Amino acid sequence: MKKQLKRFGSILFLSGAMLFFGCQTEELTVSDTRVESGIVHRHIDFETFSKQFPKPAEKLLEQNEKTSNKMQRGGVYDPLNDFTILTDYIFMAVRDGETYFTFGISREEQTFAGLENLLLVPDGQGGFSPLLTQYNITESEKNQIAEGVEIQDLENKMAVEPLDGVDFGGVNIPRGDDGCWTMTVSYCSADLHMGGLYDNGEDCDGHTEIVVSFGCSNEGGNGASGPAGPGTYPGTSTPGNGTGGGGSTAPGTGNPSPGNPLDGNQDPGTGGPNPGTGGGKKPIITGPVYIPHATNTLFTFEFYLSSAQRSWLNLHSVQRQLVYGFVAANHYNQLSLDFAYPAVDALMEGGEVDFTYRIIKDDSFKNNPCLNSVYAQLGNAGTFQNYLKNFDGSFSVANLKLSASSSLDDTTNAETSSPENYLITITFNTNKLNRPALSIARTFIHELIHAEIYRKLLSVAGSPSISLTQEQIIQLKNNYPGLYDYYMRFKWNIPSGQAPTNAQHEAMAQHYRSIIKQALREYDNNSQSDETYDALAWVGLEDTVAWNNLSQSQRNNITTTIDNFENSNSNCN
Amino acid sequence: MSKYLIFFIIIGFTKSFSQINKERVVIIFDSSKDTFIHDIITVDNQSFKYIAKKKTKKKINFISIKDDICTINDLNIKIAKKIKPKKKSEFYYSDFFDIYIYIKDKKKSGQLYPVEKVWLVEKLIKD
Repeated sequence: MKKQLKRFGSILFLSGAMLFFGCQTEELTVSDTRVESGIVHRHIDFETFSKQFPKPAEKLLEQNEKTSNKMQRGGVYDPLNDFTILTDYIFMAVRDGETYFTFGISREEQTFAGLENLLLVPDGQGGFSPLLTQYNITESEKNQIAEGVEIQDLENKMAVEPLDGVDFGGVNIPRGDDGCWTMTVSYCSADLHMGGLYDNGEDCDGHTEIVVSFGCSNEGGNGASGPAGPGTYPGTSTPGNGTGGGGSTAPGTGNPSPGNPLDGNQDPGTGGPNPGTGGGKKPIITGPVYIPHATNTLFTFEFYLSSAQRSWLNLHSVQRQLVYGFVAANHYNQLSLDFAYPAVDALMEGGEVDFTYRIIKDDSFKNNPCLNSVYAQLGNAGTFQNYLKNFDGSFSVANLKLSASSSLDDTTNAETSSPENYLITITFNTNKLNRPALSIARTFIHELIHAEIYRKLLSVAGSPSISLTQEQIIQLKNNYPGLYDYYMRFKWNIPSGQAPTNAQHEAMAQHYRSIIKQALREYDNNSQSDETYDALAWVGLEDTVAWNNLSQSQRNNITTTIDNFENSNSNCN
Repeated sequence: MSKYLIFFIIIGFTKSFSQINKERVVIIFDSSKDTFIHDIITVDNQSFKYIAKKKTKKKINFISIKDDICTINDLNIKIAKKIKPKKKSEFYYSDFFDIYIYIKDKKKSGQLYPVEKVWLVEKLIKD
């Protein structure tokens, strides 16, 4: 039995090894030298990028239109390559009028443990051609990049390949006369420039540069340094010591069989002298861009703050302390970061943030006296408070934002959006505030119940937005059988030919009206008749089965009661 | 010890066979009417989520999938032949099918996305 197991284990191991090596099929030949050159080295944000280079920016925005309704925070998803191009922090290098851009990329499914970047190379005809650059480096080396610390032997840890995907209008990547692409890898040095860190728009004063050649169309004759030794990535033999980059057309005399550097199974090269960079075509410029992804650290939090947010927090120490204290207390988890960024935006614009209940009141809401006074008075209503407490950070899975707008439909009192990045937004129509305060309070409670239902659904979805798999539908049935029932009956499993109605309204009409009534009584100290509270609780639920089950005279009575109430009480606004 | 080993092997094989027994089907993405928003692909009013964590998409030639091509309607008919569904057919997709969506990127090749049926909720509720 043991023998059989051993054999089985060997087969598994061999299969795994075959799979592992079978995946590595890139092409690269690398040589090394260090040069001095006049490169402007700068980090920019997407706004700057789109102002200075509208064409490639438009391509990214077009892609974003195809894959998402709005810009995802910090990136554009490329479905063809299945990665997100990170757009908040772009490395821009300029030399002799040619500009190169390098973007960080992130993948949901990490198949490569190192660092990957998207490099846009100007094709000389106004377009840009994309390249994928890979650095086979460790996590601590990635942090070194962020801190501007030089990585030893980086040139031997690189791989490059042309990329399909987002079309940036490039027709080719110009090669040198030697048939190679030559690349300068440049990164800001901690020794030379303020710890290697600098803000968007700032130039790096001192950077380290490495020159590598790759993708030679006449491989073997270009004097590139030797190829990978077995098992190396991509591997070079001893680098040459020439200066490169000088436009030499004379190839080196290196071993003419570079092999496939990513294969790791080729014979090692002998390490020819350093190549010329060929034909006067100057090297492509890139630099490793490391953007930390969900590592739950202060560094991650700060990294994703925009320049404007960072500057504002530096000038507002009280708010800074609140925001930093909040994310630290929540161990920089994604939910807290997804609250902190819009919270800072709201604070910058004059809004208010409740870090305990995780509620953002943006400036449009905060500066509306009617909405503010109703909201403040609802704070004394225990039922309303209990619902708000569900957004308390200690056990909530969602954050809440209150906003106001004058551009909603004339027939809309308010609207509640499903969670995006865990944030549920309730927007009130400022043109529909010419109603008594109790009626506005009714709208508040109604919308808060929607938010609460979204919160429950989000807790089952377990992701920043709601889409439920079959497994999660079963979980919904177990955790919230009522919600499951209503969504099945009114949205997901309706008989063919029957139009779906709003499952949340259907549930609310049957099960939440008593809660609405209770909260309204608490709001105005029971100053209205029970009939009035009951009638108000029906508002917004007239398209439901429960409403239609009422007799015509019952419906008429409710409508009349509401009309009388609204006509006999002064308006909030 | 060996009893436990046999037990786990049986469980493993059962699990494997249950996967194998699922029929592989490929739905063609029509860019003129279908949508791919973030990781949600909607084809013929059915929403699917790209399941990158379980499998990865791959580039393939159209010819290699042509025998597996199905429409949403085909899936529903297949389900109806297999069982007498108590719920709508899409609730049984994951019981019977390994679903892929093919998105053409060149004339004869494209990307094959492994997907899973998902149910969405209202993006916005107006009151």
